[in-house]
Amino acid sequence: MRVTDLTLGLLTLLGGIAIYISALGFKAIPGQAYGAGTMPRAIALVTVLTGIFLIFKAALAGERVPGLVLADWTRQRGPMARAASVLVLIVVYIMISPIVGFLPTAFVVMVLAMLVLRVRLLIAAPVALVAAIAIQQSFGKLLLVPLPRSSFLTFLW
Amino acid sequence: MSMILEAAGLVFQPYVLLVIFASAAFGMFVGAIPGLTATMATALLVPVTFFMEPVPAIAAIVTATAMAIFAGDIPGTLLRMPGTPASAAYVQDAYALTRKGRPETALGASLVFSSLGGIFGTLVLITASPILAEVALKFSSFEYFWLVVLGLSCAVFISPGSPARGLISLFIGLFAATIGLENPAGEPRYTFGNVELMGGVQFIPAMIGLFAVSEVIRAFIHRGTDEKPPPTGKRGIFREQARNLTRYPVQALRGSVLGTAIGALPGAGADIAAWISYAVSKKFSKTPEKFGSGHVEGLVESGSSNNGAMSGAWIPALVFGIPGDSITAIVIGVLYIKGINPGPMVFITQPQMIYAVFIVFLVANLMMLPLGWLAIKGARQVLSIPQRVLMPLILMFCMVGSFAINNSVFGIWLMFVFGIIGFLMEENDIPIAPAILGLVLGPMLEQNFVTSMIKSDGSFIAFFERPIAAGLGLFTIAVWCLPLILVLVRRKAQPSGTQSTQGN
Amino acid sequence: MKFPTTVMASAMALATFASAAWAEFPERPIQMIVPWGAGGGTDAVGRLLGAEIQKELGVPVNVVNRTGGSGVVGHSAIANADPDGYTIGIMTIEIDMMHWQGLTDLTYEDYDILAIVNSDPGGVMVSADAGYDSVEALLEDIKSQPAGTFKASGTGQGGIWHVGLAGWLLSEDLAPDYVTFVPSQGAAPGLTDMVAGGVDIVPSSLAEGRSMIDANRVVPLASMSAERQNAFPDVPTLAETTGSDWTVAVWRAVAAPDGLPDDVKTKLMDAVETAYNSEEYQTFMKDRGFGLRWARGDEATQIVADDDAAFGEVMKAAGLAAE
Repeated sequence: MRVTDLTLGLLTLLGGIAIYISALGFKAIPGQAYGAGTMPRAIALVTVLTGIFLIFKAALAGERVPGLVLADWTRQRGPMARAASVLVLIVVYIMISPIVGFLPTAFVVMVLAMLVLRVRLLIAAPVALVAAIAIQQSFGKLLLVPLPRSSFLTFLW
Repeated sequence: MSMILEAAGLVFQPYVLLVIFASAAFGMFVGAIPGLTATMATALLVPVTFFMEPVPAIAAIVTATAMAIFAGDIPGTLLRMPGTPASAAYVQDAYALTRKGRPETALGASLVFSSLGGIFGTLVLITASPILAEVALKFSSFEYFWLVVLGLSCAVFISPGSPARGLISLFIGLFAATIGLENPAGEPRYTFGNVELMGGVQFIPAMIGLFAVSEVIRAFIHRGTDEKPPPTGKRGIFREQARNLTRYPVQALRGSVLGTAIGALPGAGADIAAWISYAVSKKFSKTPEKFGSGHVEGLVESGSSNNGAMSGAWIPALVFGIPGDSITAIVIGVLYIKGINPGPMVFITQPQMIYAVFIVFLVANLMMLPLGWLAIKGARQVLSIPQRVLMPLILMFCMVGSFAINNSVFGIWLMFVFGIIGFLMEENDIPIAPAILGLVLGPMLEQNFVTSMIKSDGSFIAFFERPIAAGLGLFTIAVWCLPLILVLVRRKAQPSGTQSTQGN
Repeated sequence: MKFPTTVMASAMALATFASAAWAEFPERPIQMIVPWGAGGGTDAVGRLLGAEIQKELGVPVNVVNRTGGSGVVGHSAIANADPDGYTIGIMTIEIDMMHWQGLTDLTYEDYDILAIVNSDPGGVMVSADAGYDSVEALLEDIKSQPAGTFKASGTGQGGIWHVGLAGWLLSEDLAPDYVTFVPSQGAAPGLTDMVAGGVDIVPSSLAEGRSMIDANRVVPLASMSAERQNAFPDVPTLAETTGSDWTVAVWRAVAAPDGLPDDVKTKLMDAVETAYNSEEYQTFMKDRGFGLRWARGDEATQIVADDDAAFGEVMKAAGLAAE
């Protein structure tokens, strides 16, 4: 999923302009010329310059139309699905762990992730269980991190 | 001399040594877990130290932090999950060595040169604290502004590939740093009314996302491999580092000196120190092209610098009670509780205490060697786990670590977003490291610029009016202009032969 | 993806069963949220109180730092927790200021305030190099120079010491911004900057300047309190010197989300009181130079409410409040 220099330049330029416009609403510190808008505006300015530089460079190299170079894996369904599965699993953890608690969620997420990578369930399940308990004990007990706890599996704590 | 003996008597007692050993193991453990920080190790120790005598209490904290800082390099090297922004400076080289099957080389260098840098910093602490602290007190926002600009410039210079891509990365980080409420005007920016966003982008979850999650995504795409890294030659960890020391003595010394000096400034610290040192190392290297591909030279210099800065941060803390970083802030609190009030007077009224602290520093840095050796040997076993089993475990550690930093799922969301950003950046050859530095130093840059402008009533000349500020400013400008001049000179020398860096 | 759905469903079912059981408070660990970072004064106070409350109640009290947004994040987390007594937190003075700035709708009324456990008055500190020996001399110089000549620092824009400074200037019949305020990320960076010659005045609490005062780098000229402070008996109050009646103090309180059951509230207040009176807490506060102050329940709420009103007035006058 690689963009060409010209595309990158255009994206950078647009990003810079967007930051500048969004920063117009930030007020200065009362009685001063500087404030919340100073930094975003400075960032925007240099971003715009970098974008223009990249566009020039691309144009000099003969690039005329913005493009996107797709790596081989993006055309296959498997790798795309696996990449997406990482993101889905993170969201699943965020959504479910506060409800059912850390231990079951972590176990399920790790088992599913291993299944995606074609680890056999017979190996995945015990490894995930041991890892989940180890993390729960070390983070939750020793380091006092308030991992999400379920309201019903209290006997595990 | 009798003072030193008395101080040694306070330290070399079975109980104190036991405390040192236990806290060393604790620090090693916390630091080696991705997402947990030395600051966290220190904070967890504070309630325990309430019940100790002053010397063991301080020894516990000093030892645990020194270990945690080194141990933070372990996940960085093995899994590309740097523990601190400082170790992000050289994670590229360290991880490249792991990929080549030589993680011991990278970790050994971190270990030995961390220890050396720490010992050097301690010696400076012993001999020159009051003088250095005086100099540090001369730094106001003008001086810090230039120092931050210098640090950020280094990020662009050390990024492999085109400077334009380094700049894009840097500005992604700087922009992310503007999110939230913590800016001089105290105005919420890009928060969309969300309370969590007011807290801004914390760099630990962002760093885990940019480095580790993007790596996990890549491993999933290629469905991991069962391939294990090639075994190392049976050269001892320390023997190899002895050779590195004879090969790079200047680098080790330069890193230690620079690290200690920058660390002694309360507003700077280990982050800027490691980056500037890495850049200096690359600048003066005979083989700058090897940097980033698993070259030890940069590791030697910035590793020394990192731990030198850790010791340096104690200079203003002990002499004036000014915290240089969050760790010394905690320690100053503990010192007060123990009746040792930091300040110039403590060197006169309780010198044996101060010397005891110094001895603890030396003991901690020496003990780091054997314990670190054990940790390296143990941690290396992680690599013998097949990647397809390891990657899901890493993903879980990433999530728990991102959560733990502020005990909030918001951290996991940050990690998620920056994981995607990091993946896309690497797909496009945009280096990740400058974004981290931008994120860390962005608030400092803004704070020091805006407050300087308020103080000078809007005059830019003020940035050159104070002697140190003028020196730093001119140096920074020279650093920027020199390469341009060099390019122009070379252009004149060889008018043709413009090489294209187009990678498509 | 059938697995997680099944787990979810059974989880829901089990959860409804479990809540039926009831035992006497507290039967599980209590979480104490600290809205400021590990290592700061508020964190230390929280951790020490937590350890003492743990002794008293017999269940672990886990201190959890929820930082960021100048305290908004952590204060919101306390207010949004279930009012069951298992989440308490350290509330700081910012709760009386951030709603005036328009940063949040939260006010002290969203909490059940258990007790105020500490209070530190503001002060007037200058660099030793500046050569002032009294606050009158400083005030005279400020008045004789045009507005904006003198600069002060020590907290963020609209932070407590900014308001403290504005309130003092107003009480001396000066414009609230007659001394320009330079925002900083706390008292320590502000003090360092003052010693380095960057600013002229730091109006933070004297406790925060203690090490620099001991090192003869910083001179405390006055305390913004009704009476002299125990830790600094030689520093006069504003009223003794310039005659200003302005006082300002930061406090730290233990608070829980609004709506605690009465028995839980009483039990927690008793535990906090025992913790406050413990030798460990008393010694720690004295050693750190932090001011001890005790006010419980309604009395504490009244103090918080009075400050809220006073700060609102000054912040509006100084243009620090949102329109």
